[in-house]
Amino acid sequence: MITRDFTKYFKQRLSEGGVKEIFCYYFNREFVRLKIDQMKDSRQKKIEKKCFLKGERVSWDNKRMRFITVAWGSYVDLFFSYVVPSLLQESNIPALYSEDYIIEWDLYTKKGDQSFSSEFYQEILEKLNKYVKLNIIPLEDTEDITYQALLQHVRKVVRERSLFVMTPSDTIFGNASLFNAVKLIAGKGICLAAAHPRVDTDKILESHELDVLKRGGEVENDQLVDIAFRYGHPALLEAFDEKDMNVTLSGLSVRPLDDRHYGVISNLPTPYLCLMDEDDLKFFENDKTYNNWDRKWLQRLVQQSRIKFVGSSEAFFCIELTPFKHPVFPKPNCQNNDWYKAFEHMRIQNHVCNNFYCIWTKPKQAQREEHRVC
Amino acid sequence: MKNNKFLTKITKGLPRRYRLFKAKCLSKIYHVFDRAIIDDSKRSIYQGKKKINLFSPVWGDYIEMFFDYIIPGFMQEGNIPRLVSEGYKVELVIYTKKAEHKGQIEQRLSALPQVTNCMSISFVEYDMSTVDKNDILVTALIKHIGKCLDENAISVQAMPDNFFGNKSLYHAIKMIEGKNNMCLGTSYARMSREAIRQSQEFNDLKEYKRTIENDELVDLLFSYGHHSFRSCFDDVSKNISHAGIAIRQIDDNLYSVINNLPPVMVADFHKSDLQFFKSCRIINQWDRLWLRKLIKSNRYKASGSSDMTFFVDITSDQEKQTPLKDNLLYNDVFLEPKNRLLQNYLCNAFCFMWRRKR
Repeated sequence: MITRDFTKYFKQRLSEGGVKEIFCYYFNREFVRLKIDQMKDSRQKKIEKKCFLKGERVSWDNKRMRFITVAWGSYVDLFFSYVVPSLLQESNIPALYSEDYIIEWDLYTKKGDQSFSSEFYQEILEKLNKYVKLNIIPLEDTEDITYQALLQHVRKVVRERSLFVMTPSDTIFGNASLFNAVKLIAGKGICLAAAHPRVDTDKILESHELDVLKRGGEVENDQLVDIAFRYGHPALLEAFDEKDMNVTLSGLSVRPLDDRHYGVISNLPTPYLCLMDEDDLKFFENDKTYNNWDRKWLQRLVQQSRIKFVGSSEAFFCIELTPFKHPVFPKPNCQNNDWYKAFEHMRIQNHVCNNFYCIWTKPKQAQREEHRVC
Repeated sequence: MKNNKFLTKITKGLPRRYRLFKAKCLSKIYHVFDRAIIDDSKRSIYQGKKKINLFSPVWGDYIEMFFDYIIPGFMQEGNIPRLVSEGYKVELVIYTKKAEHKGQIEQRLSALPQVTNCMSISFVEYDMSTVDKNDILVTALIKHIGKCLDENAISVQAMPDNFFGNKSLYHAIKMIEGKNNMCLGTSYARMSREAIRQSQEFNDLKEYKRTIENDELVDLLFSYGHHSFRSCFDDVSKNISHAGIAIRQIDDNLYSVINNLPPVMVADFHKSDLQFFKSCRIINQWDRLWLRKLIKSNRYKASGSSDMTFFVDITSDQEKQTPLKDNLLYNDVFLEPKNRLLQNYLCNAFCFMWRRKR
């Protein structure tokens, strides 16, 4: 194709160096290779356009939110002791309530599970009921109970046009995280995803650092980052990319940038807030598995340009409590690695997330010590 | 009976097997597509780069701005001095048009021993008959890429209108350290050249009396922002978010920024970059097709928080008069769908966070 630029430079070269210059420039191997590359490039642009589908952004104007938690057995205690108090911090649910958001919380559990009936939770339930309508929904104890819960929930959310909020029974949110997340997506009709670290359940519970939540206190995002690194699960502590043997191939790569900040590359962040429509419901009806939440579902959101990834723990941060026995597999020759599994296995959603450094920030030294004394 | 049970088990398992098979096939097809978009061949083994070349095309009116803001910005203790103390060799490579400009720059540099003690300085002088700014800049860039490749050095954009907050450069280098041929980009905003003349903070910085931290720089942006920055907020219907940047206030100090083309500030070049710019000869492709090329070859990282990296582009009020458009409430999408490319789709998913000090 002869473009205006081509003609301009052709004339310029002809006037400067004559025919010899033209031959030297246009009839050599490098130039031909460049042109072939450009042709390949234009073909790839077409492929790229096909990869990113036209996804309609979903409208959300009724301020309704529906939280989902699936819990039974020992997870119920974790849920009422830490997860609910973390979301009841002043700048999470109460802040949303004060701005007229209508919140319902669906708790899916196994039929016959008696854990919810304990009197220990009466106090927190009373506090929760001030802001939220809580629905306890028993499900048949099948292999795919989490999937069944997810599907039921998606149906409700799509029917009501409400915001889907993922609140797993082992995930603790920092103060203001939920409020900020809602602010980030408000009016855009999109979903929000963030990277989160795993924290060793036994260590953190023995330390009683999170007991402040039970007492109605607050844990800010930067304090939660500090806690995460002090009581980190090997899945986090072995993810530092400076070591040769590490677990970065699992998808999370961490790099300390100074004494307070960490640069984090997460190849599969979790979607926490989602606005869904009928097509999404069809997707979950056909998919039949819960595990694709941060895989195929994330891929769909990326391809439809319906997702945002949070760039800083100052806006949104949460930790996932994980038992120590949860396996991690450090691999050698992984210094400076940030790829998921291996490059060949990375999918479009992994590639997109791989380009983004999320920054996790700890409090300043003095504040850190003050918090520990408290 | 046994056979019947066995058969029932198999038939019951068939739908599951079919689903798995379908997923596997689809997965293989998607892999082919995904691989067609992104390849890793341009990322080679890390060779411990400890040389940094600052790319500074400077002439005419820009000389004043370069010495008033850009050099003091780089000389903040958390930028070049910190890198030098960690063993990096820094070279300020000044590309200038005429001998008289070189003399003028040399004279001003001689009065700044703190600069000359910290880094070496070299000049690349070239006579350009053309007055086309693009031609001048792209020629300088091509020369610079060649120099960086020859010297195995990392390049930093030290344009005479880009001001970096304290520690931004250090953090940027740390983020790409060990990742060969990696480039780092971040979101930025425009500050008014006329307005910052009134700023006490910048006046003190000129005298090397103080530093400006990233959160202070975000603060200053709100006091001395260019009109294009003020029109980027997505909470009003008439804004300029169609031009690529959408800003939203989250709380008193926190702002979320969607930048559809965050430019590269630190680059570790590959020889294919030289070919690219030689072939296209358009400087604006720096944050357009070249950014796309970087993403395609898995060589790009964007820094998500202003706490780590933040810079402003000092722009005259007479420049960059992007027209306001109506019906853009909550918009963060760049241009029309037909003009959008990989880099726009991808960067649209990133929420950069800016934090003020206040």
